[in-house]
Amino acid sequence: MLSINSNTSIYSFKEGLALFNGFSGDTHFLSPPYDAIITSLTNSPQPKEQLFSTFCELNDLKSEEFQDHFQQFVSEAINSGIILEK
Amino acid sequence: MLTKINLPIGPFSFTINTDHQMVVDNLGTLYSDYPRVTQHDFIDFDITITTRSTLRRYVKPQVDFFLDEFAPFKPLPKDHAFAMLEWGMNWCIATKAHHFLLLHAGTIEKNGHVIVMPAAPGSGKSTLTAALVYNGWRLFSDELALISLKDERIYPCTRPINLKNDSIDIIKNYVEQATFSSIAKDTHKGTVSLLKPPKESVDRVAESGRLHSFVFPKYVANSEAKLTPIDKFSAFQIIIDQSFNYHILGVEAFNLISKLLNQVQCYQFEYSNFEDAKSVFSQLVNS
Repeated sequence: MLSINSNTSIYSFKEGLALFNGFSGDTHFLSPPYDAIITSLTNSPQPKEQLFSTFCELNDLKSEEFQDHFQQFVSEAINSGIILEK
Repeated sequence: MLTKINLPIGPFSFTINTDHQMVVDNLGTLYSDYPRVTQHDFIDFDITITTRSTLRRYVKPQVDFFLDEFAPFKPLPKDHAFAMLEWGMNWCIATKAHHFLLLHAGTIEKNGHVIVMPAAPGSGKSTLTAALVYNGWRLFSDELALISLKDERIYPCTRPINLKNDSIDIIKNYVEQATFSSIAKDTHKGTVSLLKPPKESVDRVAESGRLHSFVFPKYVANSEAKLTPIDKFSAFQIIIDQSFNYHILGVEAFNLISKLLNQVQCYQFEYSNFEDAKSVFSQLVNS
């Protein structure tokens, strides 16, 4: 199950999302389509597979083309402490 | 014997103690429009600039800067004493005043509109600030933007403008009756001189203002003045880079910058000519 770390502050801009990790002090900027992953998780925690389906649906993307990009993004977000995996 | 001078400057009160006549003379010239205060109720920064004792008084004389009894810098040549004082005053604010988000930025105001101009050293920020504040704009600072975490307003810290190298003569030629400090040569920033702030700006140092826009200036030789809107992510990154205490304030600074960026526009500004710059800035706040 994936969820947003409660120490993450999020601000929405026309250009995407700005995120601040309260633990590391790092600031991240996310442009579309990846900001949709964070927005989706702020609504509710989700299993990775469901999140991927939502992500493809929201952005009208073909799942086979974006599977690797999605995996890489989620891994980086977990490593940077923005997303928690339980 | 130490001469003691009390300086209330915007939200801060400084006390300067010095045995260096050149520092006393420069303070007398550049801070002559500031209110004379015999005693502060509370002193934020108690600074001492003293000549080194014994041999160093006579052989390559040097001065030390102390905040209370702490010396944060290596001693500098005696001729750099006044520049050292001004740099030290900036350092005091940048390292202690964390009730503000502090940006390395020129900050000016007209008709209630405050423009904050964050920029790296050498971008022409102080030179542009000097030209504008002697042409109808109010000086908040050429070096520091103080953005309150409490009310999100910008607070003036009106002090002499630090000019370097070619900028000194450029402003001497552009501003009639400009008053400068003595010149410090061969500093780590080159040749340095400080320009006296306009009296109208000093008189209104207690008046804060609302942010109108962020403008990121850059002097480009022979360029036409060009104001270009930039995206908020790029602006955010520059603001973080030019902040003295983003890493200290953490989420408070993140929230404040995010909120401000959602309220105001951000621009890159290239210029080489002050008349064009004046026109562009006037249009910006009148549009």
